[in-house]
This record gives sequence, structure tokens and C-alpha cells, in this order.
Amino acid sequence: MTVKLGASIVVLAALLALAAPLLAPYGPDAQSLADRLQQPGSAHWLGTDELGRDILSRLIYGARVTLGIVALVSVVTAPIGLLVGCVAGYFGSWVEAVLMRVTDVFLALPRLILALAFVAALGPGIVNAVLAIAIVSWPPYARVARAESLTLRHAEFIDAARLAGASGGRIVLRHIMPLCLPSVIVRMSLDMAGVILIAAGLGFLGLGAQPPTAEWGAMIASGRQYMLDHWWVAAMPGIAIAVLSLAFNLLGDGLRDWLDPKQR
Amino acid sequence: MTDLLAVDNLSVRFGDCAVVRDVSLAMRRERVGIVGESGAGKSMLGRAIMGLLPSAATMTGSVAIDGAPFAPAMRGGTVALILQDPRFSLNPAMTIGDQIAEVLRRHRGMSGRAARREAVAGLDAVRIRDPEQVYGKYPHQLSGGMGQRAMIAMMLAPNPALLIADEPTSALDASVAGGVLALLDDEVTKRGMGILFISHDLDLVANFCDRVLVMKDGAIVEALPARDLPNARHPYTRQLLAARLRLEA
Repeated sequence: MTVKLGASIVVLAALLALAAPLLAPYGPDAQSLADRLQQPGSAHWLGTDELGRDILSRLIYGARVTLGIVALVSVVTAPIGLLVGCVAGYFGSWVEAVLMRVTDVFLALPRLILALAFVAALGPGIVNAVLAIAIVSWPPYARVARAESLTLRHAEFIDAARLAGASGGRIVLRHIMPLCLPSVIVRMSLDMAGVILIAAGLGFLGLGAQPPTAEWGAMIASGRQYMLDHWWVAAMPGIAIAVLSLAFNLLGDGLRDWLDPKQR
Repeated sequence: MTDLLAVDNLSVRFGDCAVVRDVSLAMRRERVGIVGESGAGKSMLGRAIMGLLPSAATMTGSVAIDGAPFAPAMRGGTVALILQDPRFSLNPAMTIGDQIAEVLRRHRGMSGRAARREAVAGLDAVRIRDPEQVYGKYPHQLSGGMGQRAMIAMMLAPNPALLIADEPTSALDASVAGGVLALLDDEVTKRGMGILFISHDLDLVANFCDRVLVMKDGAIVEALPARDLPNARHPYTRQLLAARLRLEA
């Protein structure tokens, strides 16, 4: 039940993001100073911000940025983490020691702080935000993949593959990685909420998407000054972030149960 | 003619504990059985020949295949080993056919399509009905007997000169085991390869093999032609023979 809720919110957000130009009632950057800070009403369902831009339209366009970051981060981090973890878990000895200590170094620092440091070094912007988030997000996947590989390393069918003459690289790529994939996917879907929060955090601090790009974190940042008199300017993107994060968590929980044969 | 397999003073030890002691054996393209009780070191000997031991084990002595010292590159192509239980020795996340095709691509340099065709032919050769359909099945969808047939097809695919079978039928029902054994028998004869048959079942080995080696505590205590097994002289072999269950009429 909750899984379906989570999945439908994620799908809905994805559809909104894809069809943004068709669905948004106004342009995301269309200013109308006469209509600034309007309350939510029939003309502007979720009100307008300090420059008279329609908040609903900006939220819809903002979903593109947020989901884009989530997708890019997943595509970059999961394979890195999977490869590092599987190689470490299968080969063991010094390879494992080196790879896992590097992983520990990344895990030792808070993700947002480390991401901030990387963005500060690379310069603000969406691409750099994605890079920074990717750099700090792969270690948990490596941990998960390594734990899984350790149990697989001594499995009889891995011995059988070696007896049939498969090389170490082939065993990792063809036999170990596919079997570690389910746990990594679950971990990834549970992590997406965190990725959304980091992306929004970077946007809020002015290190992610740059104005006038409609980005949820940046929208909260600009609404902050008007929070007491015009709550909707900051609250609407805040709600969007909370709902989407929750949806990803529900989806992750559901995937975990679904991919685990023991819990079925 | 050089021996197909020559093992010289092979020992395997875990720390101070020797599980295989100074085993030497030579075989041509024939059927050699290794019998002994559980823990006698039979399987460890088989794995040591393949150079695939747990990392805690140390191995001394030498193994030569067809006159050349054993090298890891020979695994699969020249020497193949069939493991005991197909439920554990097949990758649960790959289809049967893909696993066989992978071996063919690796050892015979086949393209994807040729490997697929050959894998289907291989499944057919091990008398699996409807090989096209079985090609796309996962190991858990097959019975034990079918799984072991698929395993045999996989290990025979690169046409090895020597096959080591480590209790290939002990995880199977008696009736299914008979079929798998008859299949191994045919293939070994047809391909003219050597087989080292590891088992604890004396009757099975006596019927299947030309020669029998009896192992105890990691050492070979007696070697004799299979047909002379009932007249074995070594006390341990006699004990094994006496320990067989008999159906009295």
C-alpha cells in the first residue's frame, strides 16, 4: 500500500517534470511585479514569490532539476560503488584493504560538509553539484556490495566458474556484480531522499543551481526573507522536498521487501 | 606415451594438519576411481589437481597434465571438474544456457550466436528434452538431475582431456543418478577422455572404473584393478567392503 503511494508520487513527479512546459500555467521565470507575493488563490494556485513568479510553475520546473540530479547521481555512483565493493570483496587481501580504507575515509566525513567542500573547490553550478554529490555518495554502495561479495566469494558456483577457467575479472563482472545489484538498488532508492536533501541544501546555500533557475532549495532560500508574512513562498518548495523524499523512502522500503525472497 | 595426469608427491596441509599426504598417481585416458570415507581427502585431492584450494591451505608436490606442468589456464579447457551438488554449483542469477555459452565463448572463442547454438546442442547431448526451452531457464527451475546434466554439458563443452568428477551423483536420487552415470559413461567413451571419479560408493566405482585407488587419512593405501576389488587385501579396503549395506534376499 505505502509502496504504491511512494511509487505513484515518484511517477507523478517524473511526469510533471517531463511535461513541465505543457502543465505549468505560467513560465517559470515570468515575472510580474504587480502580482508579487500573492496568496494562494484561483489565479496562482500556490501563490507567487517576491518577483511575482508563479510558485506552482516554478515547482513543476524545479522537479526537473531535482529529479535530474537524482538520476545523474544514481547513474554515476551505483556503478562506482558496485565495482569498488565487488572487486574488494572478491579479491580480498591488500586490494580489499586499500579500497575499503579509501571508502572509510569518505564515510568518515559528513556527506553535506564534504559535498560543500567539493562544490566550493569546483565552483557553484548544477553539474558541479552532481559531481560533488556523486563523490560523497558512492561509499555506502561499496560497503553493501563488498558485504554481499564476501558471502558470494566462497559460494560453490563461483568455484565452479573458476574451475571452468573464468578469470577474476570475468567472475566479478558476470557472476558477482549481477548478484549484488538488488541490494545496491534498494540502498540506492533509500538514499535518493538523502540526495534530494543534499541537492536542496546546496541550492539553499547558493552553491547548487544558480538563479534564476527554478530549484527547490534556492526557492526556499529566497522565500526565507518573507517567511513570517508570506509563508507560502518558502513553505511550498519545502513541502515538495518533504513529499518527494518521503515517496522515495516508501519506494525503497517496498523494493527491499520485494527483492528479498525471505520477506515475501 | 606421456601420462594424461601425473601427480607427484602431492601434499596439502592446513597449518600442521595434512589432509593429503604424499599422493603420487599416474593415469592415461582411462577411468580411475578414488574411494574412501568422508574426510579421507578425496575432494581435496581433486581440487589440488585443479590448483584451486582454500587460501588457508598450502600445497607441495607437482601436477602435470599431458606432460606439461599444471597452469591455471588449463582449467576448463584441458581439465574440468564436476562438483557435487548442482543446486549450489550453478549461478542462480544466470540462465543455464548463458552459463554454458559463456564457457564456449571463453574456451572456443565462439561468437554469441554460435555459442548459443552449440550450447543447445550440448544440452541435447546430455539428453535434456526440449533443450531450446531449458536454455532460458534458471537453475532453481530445474530438477537436481537436470541441473547435474546441465553442469556436465557445461564442463564437457570445451572438450577437456581429463574430467574430474567429485561425487557427481551423491546429491541425486538413486534412479536419477543411474541416468547421469550412464550419460557420463557414454560421453567419456565417445570423447576418449580420462576421468578421475571420486566417490564413497564402492559398488558404483567398481562398475564404472577400470582402476580403483583407496584413500585413507589423506594417503593412498591401496591401488587395484576394479574387478579385483572384492579380493582386496588391505584391511581398510576390506573394512570399507564390509561396511556396505546389502539387501538380503
